[in-house]
Amino acid sequence: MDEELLKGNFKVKNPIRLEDRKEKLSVREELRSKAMASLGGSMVYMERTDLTWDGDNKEKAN
Amino acid sequence: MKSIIAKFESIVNQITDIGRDLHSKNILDHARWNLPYVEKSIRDLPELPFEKRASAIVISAGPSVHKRNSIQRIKQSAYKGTIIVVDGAYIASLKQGLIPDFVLTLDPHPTRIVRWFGDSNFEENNKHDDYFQRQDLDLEFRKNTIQQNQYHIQLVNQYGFQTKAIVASTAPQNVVRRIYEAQFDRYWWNPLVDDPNSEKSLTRQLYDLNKLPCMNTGGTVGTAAWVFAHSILTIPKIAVLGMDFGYYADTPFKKTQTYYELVKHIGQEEDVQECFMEMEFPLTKEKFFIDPTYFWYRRNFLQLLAKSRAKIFNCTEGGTLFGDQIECISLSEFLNHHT
Repeated sequence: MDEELLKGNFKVKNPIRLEDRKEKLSVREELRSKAMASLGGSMVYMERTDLTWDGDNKEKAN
Repeated sequence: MKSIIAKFESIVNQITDIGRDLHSKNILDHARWNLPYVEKSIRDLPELPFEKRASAIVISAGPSVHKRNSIQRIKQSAYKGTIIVVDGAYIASLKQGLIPDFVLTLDPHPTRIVRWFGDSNFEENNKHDDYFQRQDLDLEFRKNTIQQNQYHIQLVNQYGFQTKAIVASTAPQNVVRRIYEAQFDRYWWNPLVDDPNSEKSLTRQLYDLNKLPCMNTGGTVGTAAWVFAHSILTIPKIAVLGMDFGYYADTPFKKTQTYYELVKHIGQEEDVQECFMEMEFPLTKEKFFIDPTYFWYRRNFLQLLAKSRAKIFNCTEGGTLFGDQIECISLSEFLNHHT
């Protein structure tokens, strides 16, 4: 497609604010993150890890 | 039935990955930010007096705490052992006149957790988030009023200095600020989030950064509080309460903490009942149901308990936590015969 065809030849009265879309996306992303926060627990947990760890020399499993 | 269980298990098995994706970046960012504030670690805790060393009650923030008046009953009993509360149960304890020895905080969430200490940015942090309307930990928090939050700030400012805050290096900035502001005595730790010997271990990165001792959390602050009592304070007799890991049978599915997240996750509202499983509490034969996230917490807790070889008393008087090393008894029995 010729890029010339896509160029506007007049100015719109109300300029388009690209930020609006960005803001909406950011709210959506925020909501998604909040949703995941409830499902994914308060902290990472991996199976087969000990109760405590205090460096290689003090490692212990109670 | 088989497919329901398979679906339930499949969601439970994804939670570890969801949590890792969600928290990994925050964990290190928060620990870096908190580094200048780390003065003392849980290694520096002073020795407990004799009676406090003998037994402990760990108070989580499940709905049973209110239904069973657990905090009030402890207060009335003049219990002399150690009281450890999770952040979500701290204000409820203060309101009953019970000042805990320790309060634990873990969750790195940037806007929610600070509410448990009174949120000085309440209105902004409340936007776009109905968490406190749906959460069942402390129903008082559903009221969500500015006046109530203001009262919580005053309460925490008044009593904070009498409690030791056991603060995870992953705590968000606003929680750390509140803990300083309210003059808690602060002791820091790292969450043990993976095998420190694995390649690119996050736990090792945390440790290399701040040299703080690491404690396993089982994914939730209540489990971390029990690990703290057992492994750090080495208290031989521990009771847990408010550790429901489930919902009372009359709770509508829509009022459960992860309902909308589950609908979003599985794609259809009609299938969401497959995400709940019924369980009977052995002491009372009462029915409860559990969602995948609570099931994951429960499974993690039981794994850690098995590893510890310890026994605990579950005085929740309901919920889904039972098993080989768990003696389910009433809170009154613990207070009268085991302390």
